[in-house]
Amino acid sequence: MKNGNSYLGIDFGSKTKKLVAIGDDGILDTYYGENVPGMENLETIREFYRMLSEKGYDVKGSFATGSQMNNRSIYVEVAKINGAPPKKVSELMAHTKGTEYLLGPLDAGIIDIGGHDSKIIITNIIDGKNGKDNGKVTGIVDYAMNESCAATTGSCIDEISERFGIPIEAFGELALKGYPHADDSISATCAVFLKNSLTQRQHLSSDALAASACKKMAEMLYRTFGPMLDRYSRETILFQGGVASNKGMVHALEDVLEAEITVPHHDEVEEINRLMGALGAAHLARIYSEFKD
Amino acid sequence: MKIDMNAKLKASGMRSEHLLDQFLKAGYNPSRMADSEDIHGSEYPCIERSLLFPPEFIYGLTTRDGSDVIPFTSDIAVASTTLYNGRLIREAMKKAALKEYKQSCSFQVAAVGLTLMGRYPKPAATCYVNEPCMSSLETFRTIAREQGTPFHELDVPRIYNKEAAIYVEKRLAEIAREIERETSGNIKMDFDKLDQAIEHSNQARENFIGAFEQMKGPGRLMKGFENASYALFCSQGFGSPEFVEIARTMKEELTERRTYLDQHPQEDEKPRIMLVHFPPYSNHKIMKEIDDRGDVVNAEVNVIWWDPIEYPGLRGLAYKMGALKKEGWSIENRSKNLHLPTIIDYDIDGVILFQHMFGGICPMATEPYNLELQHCLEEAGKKRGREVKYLRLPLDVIQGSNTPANTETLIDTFFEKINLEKTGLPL
Repeated sequence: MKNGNSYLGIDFGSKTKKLVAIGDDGILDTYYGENVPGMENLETIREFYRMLSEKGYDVKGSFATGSQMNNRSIYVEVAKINGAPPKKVSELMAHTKGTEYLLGPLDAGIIDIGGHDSKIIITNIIDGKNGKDNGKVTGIVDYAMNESCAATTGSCIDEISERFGIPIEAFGELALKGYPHADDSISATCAVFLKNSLTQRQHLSSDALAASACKKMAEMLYRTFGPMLDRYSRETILFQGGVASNKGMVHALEDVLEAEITVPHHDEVEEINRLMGALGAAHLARIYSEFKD
Repeated sequence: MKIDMNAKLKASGMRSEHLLDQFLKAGYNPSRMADSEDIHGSEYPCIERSLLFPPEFIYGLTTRDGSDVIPFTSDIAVASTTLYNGRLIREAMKKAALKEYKQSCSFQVAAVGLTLMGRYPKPAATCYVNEPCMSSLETFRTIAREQGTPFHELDVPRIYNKEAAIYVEKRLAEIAREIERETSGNIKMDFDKLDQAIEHSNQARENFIGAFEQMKGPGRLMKGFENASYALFCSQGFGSPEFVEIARTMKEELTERRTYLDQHPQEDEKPRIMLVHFPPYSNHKIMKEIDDRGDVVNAEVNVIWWDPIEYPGLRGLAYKMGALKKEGWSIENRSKNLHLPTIIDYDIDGVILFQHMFGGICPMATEPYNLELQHCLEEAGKKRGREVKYLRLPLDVIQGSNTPANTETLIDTFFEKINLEKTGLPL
């Protein structure tokens, strides 16, 4: 039985892969998982296609984003599964379009902390094509990415979590609880020094350690992105990517930026903040299917 | 039927760029560097020049036996060596660092390192023009001292008037006499040859201007990588007959391509890009990324600031130097008199500043330039009623800093942003 068309977004990042399928009436299905070595990664994508097909959806268009899409051999394999090379879009545009899908066109600052990088995007409302919202779309005014340091990436939290035996799932809750006891004297020069400084403070409780790490990461993020946020002074600041699931990090950013931070939410999709790039890619696949031909 | 102009360009290449490559290799032979003593590939004596010293002066020199003298431009040689023999440049930078010569422009550090390794050509003399770069004077002096070669400084006043030209002419004449004395009469100025060099310079200038005029129309006539490789504003080619031929060939082929594009308009116009401060031989991967996504229709390195040289002899060169000094090196003038009209004339959608960090110390590369450019783009946007998009890429072709993955993402987003506003769709 045919259920209709679907549009697929693939976000193949440095640490995780995310898949989102949307239909004419909303999100059909999603997948989020850690990258694994070898071809098993691709099997997940194949399985996702099979599932859509079994549910009676034709994949009418697909877009891909994420750093792994620059890996030619992976891209070629994804193209084989897809039946044609998916169109590639940058992670920044994908995240912008993800927010457009979820929240409509908006002026905002978007912070995304990924596995190996972090980004800031300043958006505005412009004329464009998306088949709704009276032709208004979300455009990009300005953007920036972290430079060489890993301190503002998800990998930094992973390293600290592993080093101090704090389970990554509990990290955010602990950090939130321990935030009043965060140690301000810890070095916030780079990821390595942060880890070393924390090592020298093993007398701190786990929650204070987690909170200190989040606070210092937020400060380092502010050093990189703060001037841009200040320049454009957007009232809405969205926090996306896997690290946005960490409540301690959200609180630390609110404290350091002195602003309210919104983590995207969807009633039916758990932690949609992790899927915003894939969602944006799927949204673009649908828009292109509507307008390009 | 849609005609893929990019495929056509790829297939045909640029005849003039091939000639340019041959011309450069006649001066520097980077492919020989792995097993030769220096990177100066010519059998003729050379005079080292800083970027703005008039090459016509050097083409006007002759040896006792009537041979030519070849200009050698340090920055171009280092850029060229980076392209063909990156390993040698890395070794040179290590060598310079051993002497604590590292907190400086990477071009200069590499040149000093090559000198210390004995792999830098030994010129008959070094001719330097005062530049905004604070450290280049001392770098050229260091190289000259290490090699025991005479050093000449041409001080061009920033105020450009008749008195300044007379002063510069006098100083050029002194330098010519000093070189003759230092080489015991082996190298001296031949004023007939100098006038011929000036004639060649004017012819090349006229042809290049005619060639780049063709780029104002729709579509792309050459790739960004090819465009940037000419680096005309600092080229040592002006004054040589070969450069006239290169310029004439370029004008012919761009005119041919313009005619072709006018007869076969492209369906999908890509964003029109101006490259600012792109040095020649910039990172291949980055240039390819830009070429794949947009049409580079203007490169700042090809600006020809000076008027035709009207006076014969050294007076003519003095006027050219004044124009270069006043306009070419002034950030404010460059922004007002070059970038702004270019954006409008070439219908530029986006500007990419290749902010070569030069060790993080160069005023041309760091924030004053960035801020002036942003101000200019704002003005240009207001004037034509459409915003000019801007991307600053802080990189260093010699040392390398940002991760390639980030840079690619920044470039991709830049083009998507332009497309989104132009067509409503990002790709």
